[in-house]
Amino acid sequence: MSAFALAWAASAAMRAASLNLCTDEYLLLLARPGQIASISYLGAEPAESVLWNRARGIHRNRGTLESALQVRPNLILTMGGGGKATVTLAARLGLRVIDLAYPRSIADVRAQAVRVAEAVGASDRTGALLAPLDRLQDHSARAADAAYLAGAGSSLDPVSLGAQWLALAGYRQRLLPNGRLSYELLVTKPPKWLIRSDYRAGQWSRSQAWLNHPLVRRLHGRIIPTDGRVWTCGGLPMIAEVARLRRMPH
Amino acid sequence: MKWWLLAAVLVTAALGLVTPWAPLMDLIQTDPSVARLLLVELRLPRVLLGLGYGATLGLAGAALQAIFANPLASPDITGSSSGAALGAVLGGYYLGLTGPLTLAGCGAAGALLALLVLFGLAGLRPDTSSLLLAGIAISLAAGALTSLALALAPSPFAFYDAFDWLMGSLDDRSLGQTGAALIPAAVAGLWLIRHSATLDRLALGEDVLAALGHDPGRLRAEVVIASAVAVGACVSVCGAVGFVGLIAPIAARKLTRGHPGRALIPAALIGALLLSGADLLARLAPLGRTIPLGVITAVLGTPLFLWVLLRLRWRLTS
Amino acid sequence: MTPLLVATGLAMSGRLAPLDLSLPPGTMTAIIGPNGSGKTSLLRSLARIDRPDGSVWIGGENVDRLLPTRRAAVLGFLPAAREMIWPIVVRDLVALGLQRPDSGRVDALLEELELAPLADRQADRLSTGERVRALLARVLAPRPSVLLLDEPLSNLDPYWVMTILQVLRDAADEGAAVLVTLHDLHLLDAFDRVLMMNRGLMVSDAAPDVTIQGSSFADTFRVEPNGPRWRLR
Repeated sequence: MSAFALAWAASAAMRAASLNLCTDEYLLLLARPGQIASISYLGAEPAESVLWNRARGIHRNRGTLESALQVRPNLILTMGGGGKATVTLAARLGLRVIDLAYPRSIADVRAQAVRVAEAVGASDRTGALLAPLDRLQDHSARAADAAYLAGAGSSLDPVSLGAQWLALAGYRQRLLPNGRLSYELLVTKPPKWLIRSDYRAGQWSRSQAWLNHPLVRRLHGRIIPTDGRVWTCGGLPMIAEVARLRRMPH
Repeated sequence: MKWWLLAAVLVTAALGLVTPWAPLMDLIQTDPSVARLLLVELRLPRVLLGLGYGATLGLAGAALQAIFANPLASPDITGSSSGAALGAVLGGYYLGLTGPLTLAGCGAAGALLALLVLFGLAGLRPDTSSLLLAGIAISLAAGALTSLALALAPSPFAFYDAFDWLMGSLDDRSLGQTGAALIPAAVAGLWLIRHSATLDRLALGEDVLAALGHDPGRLRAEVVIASAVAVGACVSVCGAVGFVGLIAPIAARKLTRGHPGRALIPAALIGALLLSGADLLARLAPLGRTIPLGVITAVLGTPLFLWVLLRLRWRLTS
Repeated sequence: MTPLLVATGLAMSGRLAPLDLSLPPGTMTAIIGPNGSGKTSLLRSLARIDRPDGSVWIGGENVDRLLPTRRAAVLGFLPAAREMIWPIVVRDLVALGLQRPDSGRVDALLEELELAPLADRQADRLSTGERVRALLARVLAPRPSVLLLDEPLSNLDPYWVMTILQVLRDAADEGAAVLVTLHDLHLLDAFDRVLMMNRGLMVSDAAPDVTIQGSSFADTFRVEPNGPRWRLR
């Protein structure tokens, strides 16, 4: 049988289960609907995932191997914590496992996308998905002084994946003490731009209330809102968001 | 009136405004308008809340000790503070009542409910053991329910707020929030102060008070409601802080030679001093760490509480 | 002589049947009766405690209508329970009876009740006898027209019993009406008038010697006089 036919046959029989929001993202973007046996409940949650729409009708697991087994997957996708035991167990059950590490750079995200695509027989699709990323990386961006801003003033480490995406969008994440913005800093030396996450903005909590303090609101001219959901994983959905931020004032 | 007490309160308030000193000095020289912004929007609310919340705890504690005729009654020991936190959490995270004044109302409702449950459990004139048992039971229950409510709240951030609610904090509150806490507290506090002389006479017993033409039942209701409103409003903004409401009145009665009613105003001043002082200590924490306010008051207050308890016991058994 | 105190319709369900009472000024009256006969209830309803029925007029004024600032000068009440929780010193305790500070009056009362050496002792550290005297001084401080005292002489040494009786007589001589509940029937001679209660009813209202010799006395107390003591009936 030709390699293509083998690959096609393999992909048709594919039943992949993802146990983690970040691996959900890869699966929902790369695999064909029939190939996805189960995703984590977070992936289907509108407040958590930008791809929740694609998750309709797909079985939801609780992020554990046990909760995914009922749909009889033959491929398990996990990321980071819980990996070791899950990998061992899955191996014992004769299941194939892809355990991805937390990506630390945009290159890592690329490599993970390619790997997942290969596993589900969708290697031909990666080109189209990653093309916008190529375009962004080809045209170098300006580097405006900025800081990511989330609930309770939390921000990003300048070497983190999120900060690298931010840089690609033309904003340089400032090094901040304790990795967070304080009101004092916002008054004395505010960053030129504040990329503010709207994650769970509709639900009240002290961390959200922090963002409503007069000392934050007075900087409204510098605030650029961003969809907080994509920043949780910093995966493929970031590409579109970065492209959007590129067009924002700098 | 003890002028030295008032002076100490003012000095602590001034310290609160200018600490940390260096960044403020820098700013005053480089950009005075920003310095003003810093002082007014950031440090002033903190100082006002430290004074106002502390004064509320002292005042409510003194009033509660007077009507319960017990030196151990206080907003935290009667479960009133914990009830207020529960009320505010349920209102804010579940019922969407997030405006500062409505949140204060939820806090007041919670505090009032806790006190009513206390009366139900321990009776209208409980002795020390009944008071302590019922009050501590209510505090534990309310605290547990608050944690549960935070864990199950719609917003996943709620769980991280638990420390704020259960251990108190003056960090990063706005002037608006300060007003929402301190205006109701001030109104309720003035209402309580009106009863100072009557509360002194209550020391002679409820019967004597009735014979003098007052209504003990109505006095109790007014004190309970006013304390609940004052404490509830403050807890809704700053979370529950313990021990200040217990220690401040006890210290105040040393100054008023044992008079429980006359001790209301000194207790307010001492409470303001204690809480502002605790906040100054909290800000001395090692860089990057936060020590919640309630932890400091607990660490300093527990030995004092034990000493009061022991002395009470000695007095009863000697 | 017009009565100083006129009370009508005094009652307490289950404890005191409705009754009327009037007290002339300058007299000492004792209320006696077995335990549970309604002595304390009568006193408490006169003092207007526990949402009482009826009305009480003192010196032509309706007591219920008086403001607290005026009440203390008209009616003084001493309860049987003498617990003091707060460590208030005796001098301040006595001063609580006054609307305005008056150290002269306080000193005079301390003298009268021999409390001067205890002036700075905390009230919760007093013996029973000392406490009664201190609380009595508080009641006397505003010179009330009517004194209602619940068991002021119980558990006291004879010296203090006689001293307090003298103090009360002095108050009566100044025009007050003194009403006292009494357990020790040997002290009846010190009073001008004796009211005897039994089961919530007033069964006798007469001079002391008449009261003891009367038949209702034996019915009420189930003992008869036997010289200086009693014998069971």
